[in-house]
Amino acid sequence: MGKIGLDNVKLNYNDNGTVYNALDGLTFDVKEGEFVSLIGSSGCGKSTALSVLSGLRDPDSGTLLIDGQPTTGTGKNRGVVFQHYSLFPWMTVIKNVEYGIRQVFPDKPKKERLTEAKKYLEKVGLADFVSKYPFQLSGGMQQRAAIARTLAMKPEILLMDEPFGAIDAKNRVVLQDLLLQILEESDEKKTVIFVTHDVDEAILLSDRILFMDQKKISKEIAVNFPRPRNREELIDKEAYRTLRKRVVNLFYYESDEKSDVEGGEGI
Amino acid sequence: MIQKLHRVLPHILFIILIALVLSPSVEGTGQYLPFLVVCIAIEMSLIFNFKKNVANDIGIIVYIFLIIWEYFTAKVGLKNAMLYPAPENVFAIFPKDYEKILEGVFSSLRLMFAGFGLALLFGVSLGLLVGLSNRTSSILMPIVKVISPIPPIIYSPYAVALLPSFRAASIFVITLTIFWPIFMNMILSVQQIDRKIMDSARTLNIQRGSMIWHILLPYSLPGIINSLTVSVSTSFLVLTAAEMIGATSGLGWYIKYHSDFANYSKVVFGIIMIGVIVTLLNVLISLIRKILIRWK
Ligand SMILES: Nc1ncnc2c1ncn2[C@@H]1O[C@H](COP(=O)(O)OP(=O)(O)O)[C@@H](O)[C@H]1O
Ligand SMILES: [Mg+2]
Repeated sequence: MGKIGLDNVKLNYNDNGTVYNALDGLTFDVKEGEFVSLIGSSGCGKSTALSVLSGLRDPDSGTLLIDGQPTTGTGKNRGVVFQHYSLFPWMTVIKNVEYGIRQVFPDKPKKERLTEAKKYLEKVGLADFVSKYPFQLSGGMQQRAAIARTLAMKPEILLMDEPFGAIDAKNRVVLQDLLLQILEESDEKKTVIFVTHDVDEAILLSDRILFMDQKKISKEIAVNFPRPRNREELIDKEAYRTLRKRVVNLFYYESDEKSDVEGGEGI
Repeated sequence: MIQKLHRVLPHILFIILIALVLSPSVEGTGQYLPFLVVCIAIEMSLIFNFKKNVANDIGIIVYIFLIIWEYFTAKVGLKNAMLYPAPENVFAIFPKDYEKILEGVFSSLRLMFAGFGLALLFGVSLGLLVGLSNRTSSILMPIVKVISPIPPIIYSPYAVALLPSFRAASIFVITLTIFWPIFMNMILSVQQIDRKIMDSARTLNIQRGSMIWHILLPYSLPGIINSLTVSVSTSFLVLTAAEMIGATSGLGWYIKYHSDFANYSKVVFGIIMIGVIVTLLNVLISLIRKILIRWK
C-alpha cells in the first residue's frame, strides 16, 4: 500500500458550458518516503493532477488515496509549492512562514512560531531577508520562502508544481541542490511528488519518473542512483548519460528502444 | 535658458504679487496682513517642492490668478466691489471670524467621520457577506445595480425632511455616498480574488475567520482605500450641499447664510476653506494608504 495515490481519476473542466476532459483514468501510487517526478508536455494535465492530489479539486470519478484511505479536500498532511505566488504579498517573509506554522500548530506560542520560522528561513538562505515583503524579493528568493513555509508546516507529503520552472537556469541549479540537501537532512523522510518538464531536474531529484501523456501515465522509469546525490559526480557517470538518453527519448520521441541508447553520447 | 526662466518665473511672480499687495489700495480694502501670510505660505510650499516640475507650473498659475485678482479688486476697484471682494478682505475674514469658521469646520468633519466609519463598517462587512455567498449575491446584485448609481445627494432634501435631526440626515447621506463604492468593491474583490492566492490559502487549511481577517481583508484593502479616495471629495460636497439646505452650522451653512446677507467676502472665504479641507482629507487618506499598504 502506498502513501499517496490516484485510482482511475477522471476530471472535467467546465468552462461556461464547454466541457474539457483534463484527466482520463489517471492511476499511480507513490510509496512512503519516495520522490516521484511527474513529467510531460505542457497542457497534458500535470497541474490538474497535482490539484487533485492537494485536494484543491475533487475528481469527477475515481479516488484520491492517502495511506489507503479515500480522501477529499485539502489537508495538513500535504504541503504545496506552486510555480508562482504561493506567498501572501501583504505579509513579510517571516510572517508568511509564521502564519503557515500557525495553521498547523495553533497552540504554539507566537514567539516559538517566529523562532521556528526563522530557523527554516535560515535553512533556505534567507536569514537576511526575513522582514522583507515578497515584492522586494527575486523570483528565486520567493520560491525559497515558499519552500521554507511548506517545510515549516511539517507535512508528510510535499506536492510541488514546477517550483523552479520560472527561475533562470543558474538559480534553478542552486535551488535543486538546496532541495536535495534539505530533504536529505530532514528527520522524517518526506514523500514528494514533483511536477517538472526538465529532464535533468527529474533525474537528479527522483527515485522514479512518471511520464504523463494523453491525460494519464504512459510510462515510468526508476532512477536508482544512490543518495546522497551530488550533481557533479552524477553527470560524470556513464549510467547517468545512458539513463538521461532514455528519459529524453521517452519524453520527446516517446520510444523506449534501449538499443538506441547504448553507445549513444550524452546530450 | 527657457528652462531657467521657467524655474525662476514663479518667484518673480511672487515678488510682483507682494509689491502689488504692499502698494496703496482703493478705499474699502481691508488689512493686508492675512493675505500676505497666505502668499508667503504658498511661496514656502513652492520652495519646499522645488524639485517637482509640476509644482513650478502650479505656482505660476496660482500667482497669475492672485495677481489678476489683487490687481482688479484692490488696485483698480471694480464697479460691483461687493460682488468681487479683494483678496485682502477675503483672507481677513479668518482672524475676525475664526471661532465661527472652525466650529463650522469641526461640525462638518464630525459628520464626515461618522459617515466614513459607518460606511466602512457596513460596506466591508455586508460586502464580505454578499461576496462570500453566491446565492445572496445573485439575488442582491441586480437590485443593487439599479439603486447604487442614484447619486445620494438627490436624497438629501428628502432625508433632511424625513429624519429626526439634521445631523442624522447628513450622516445618512454621507454614509450612503461612501457605502456604495466600498460595498461594490468588496463584493468584487471577494468574488474575483486571484486564483493563485486562493489556492495557496486553501492548501494551508486556513479557518474561515482567519481567511476573512488575514486573507480577504488585506487583499481588498487597496481597493477599499482607492474607493475612499474617490468618494471623499464627493461626500464632502454632498455634506456641504445638505448643510445649505437644513443646517445651523457647518461650512455649507456658513456660505449659504452669508450669501443671503450679500457678504461675499465670507462666501469666497468659505469656498476656499472647503477646498483646503478636501485637500487635507485627501492627504490624510494617502497617508493612511502609505502606512497600511507597505507591500506594493
Ligand atoms: N480552470 C480551467 N478551466 C478549463 N480548462 C483548464 C483549466 N485549467 C486547465 N485547463 C486545461 O486543462 C488542460 C491541462 O492543464 P494543466 O493541468 O494545467 O496542464 P499542465 O500543468 O500539464 O501544463 C489544459 O489543456 C488546460 O488548458
Ligand atoms: Mg502546469
